[in-house]
Amino acid sequence: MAKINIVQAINQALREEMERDADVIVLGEDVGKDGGVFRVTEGLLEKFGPARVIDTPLAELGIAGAAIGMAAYGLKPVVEMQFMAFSYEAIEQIFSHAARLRNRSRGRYNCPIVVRMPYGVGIKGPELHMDSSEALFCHMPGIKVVVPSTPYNAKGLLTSAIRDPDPVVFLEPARLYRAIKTEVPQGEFTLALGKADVFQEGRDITAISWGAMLHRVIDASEGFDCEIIDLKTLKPFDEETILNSVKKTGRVVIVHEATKYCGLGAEVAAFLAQEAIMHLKGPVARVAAPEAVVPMALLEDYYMPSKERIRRAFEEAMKY
Amino acid sequence: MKAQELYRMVSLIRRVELKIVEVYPGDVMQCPVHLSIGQEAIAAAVCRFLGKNDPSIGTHRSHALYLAKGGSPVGLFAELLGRINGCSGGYGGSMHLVDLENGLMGTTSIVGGALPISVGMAMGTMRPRIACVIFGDGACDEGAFYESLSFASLKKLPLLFVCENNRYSVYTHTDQRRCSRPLRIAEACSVRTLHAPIDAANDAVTLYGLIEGEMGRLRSGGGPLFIECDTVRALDHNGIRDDIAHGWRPAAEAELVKRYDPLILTGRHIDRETREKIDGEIRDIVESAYASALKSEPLNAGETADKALFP
Repeated sequence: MAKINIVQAINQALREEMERDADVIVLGEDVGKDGGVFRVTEGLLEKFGPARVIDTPLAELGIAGAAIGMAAYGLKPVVEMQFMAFSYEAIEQIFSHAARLRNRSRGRYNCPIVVRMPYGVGIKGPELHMDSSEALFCHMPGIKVVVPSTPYNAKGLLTSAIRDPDPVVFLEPARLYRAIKTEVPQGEFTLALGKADVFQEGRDITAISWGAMLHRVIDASEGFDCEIIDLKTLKPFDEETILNSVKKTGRVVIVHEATKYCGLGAEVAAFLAQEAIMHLKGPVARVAAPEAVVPMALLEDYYMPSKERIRRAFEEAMKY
Repeated sequence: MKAQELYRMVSLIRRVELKIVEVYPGDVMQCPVHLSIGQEAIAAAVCRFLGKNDPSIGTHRSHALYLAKGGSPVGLFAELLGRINGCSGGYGGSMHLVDLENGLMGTTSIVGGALPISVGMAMGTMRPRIACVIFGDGACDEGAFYESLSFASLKKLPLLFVCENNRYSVYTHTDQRRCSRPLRIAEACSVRTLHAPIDAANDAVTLYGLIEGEMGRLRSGGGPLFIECDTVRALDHNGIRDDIAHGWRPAAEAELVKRYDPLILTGRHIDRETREKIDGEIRDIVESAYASALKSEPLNAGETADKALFP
């Protein structure tokens, strides 16, 4: 197996799925000739032509709406938003229509769109280019939210997302795009949505994270007997895997790039308070960004949950 | 024959709306309604050019579109009554009608929300199919309006934009909201436009004749078409109240409602005897549809919750 990075893995998933299924369409700003702002869709226009790889106007609302209309018609559009915060322009369409069509039609038709977007801090971008607003999308019924942490995950999860009958928000950790390479199978392969990975087994602490933060957690875990969970699908998240781990360790640290208030960590903590209260040895800890928008690059390291902050949370957890 | 069929549709829409007006005070329909009275001719004429395979999408005021596209009155009444036989399973209500069998992909309560989706539908269609979106002048105030026209024009999509311009967004007149007519924006986007003044737009037969040629061009690949229809809303924005009588719109509006009644204007093209025969048949159809809708089961609360996310 060849070792490739996340950009290549996503490109491969798109390319192979487009070869297999003529209904798969890629659209977005600069995705064709330019290959996308992070070059994720490079070469697709040349291979599949302008009817299937569509350079759109600079109009996120219009792009999302067009994708929904195509999906209603039986196509499987994969939309690229250049940065996660640019999708706020399109939220009207994603929330008011994509999320609701299956329910509104009582299951008579679905909305199989994928909205891909780079997200997260760590690329020396300014605010509105590094947002982590996953909880926003998780909150709206009818949408699935997926975050890969490795090239292997990226390919398998994106292929599943494209095949899923419902709208999937696919968040690509921008700082990981070219940072790591893993072995990725050539050809068709899928990873089930809704399933978490136990990245590393352990007995003392359950550390829950996703995307780029998984790698921070791995770094920080040295010297601790940590069970590291990569959530992968944020909505719906894998309750069983979390529960089994917490029953074993009794200590939980959740690490995410988003701010803490109403972040996804709060939902996981509430779930554990309800389902695992008798197994918990201490409070569920959350390591998250400070309650502020993303700062300029100089403060990026301060903003992002650091190895030291994660280690301190582990140390606190071990006091119980 | 065409005139008779157009009249029959206008009469059906009117009679269904009047039935809603009749039963609404009894609170059997616990659902806001935005009635099409005064604007029936537009959907009636436009939908004559659309087949079941031509996907269409509408707004909060879409009873006329639903019926003109071929939807059953039972399905509409049952939807408003919250019954499982409703066209959206009794879940969506008046503003969220779905009738896939007749190519009505949906209607939406978000003003302007249907416009970008119609672009995608047109992108997904292959000629000779066309997509159609019907919307009000209020939707033209939204940014989505420009985005959709520009995208559709750029890609030369087989998309029919129908603007029902009743000049009022709730009670605010278009002159207080807009600097120009909606079709000026369409022209700026190089979309072909047609303007139907109220005497044409509120007469299904005249409107049909006015748009026939352009509809043929649309279907044969001439790119998007924008039709702006001047019309008048007979009743309140929402509900069954006469808002003009209550002083919410100027009294001159009542004159327009009277002078340009679509039922009367369309009816002038056929003789009185035929008109009365059609009206009688429609009355029976609507009464029996309402009785049938009442027999449908209400939506079960537990089942609704279970199916809410992924039915």
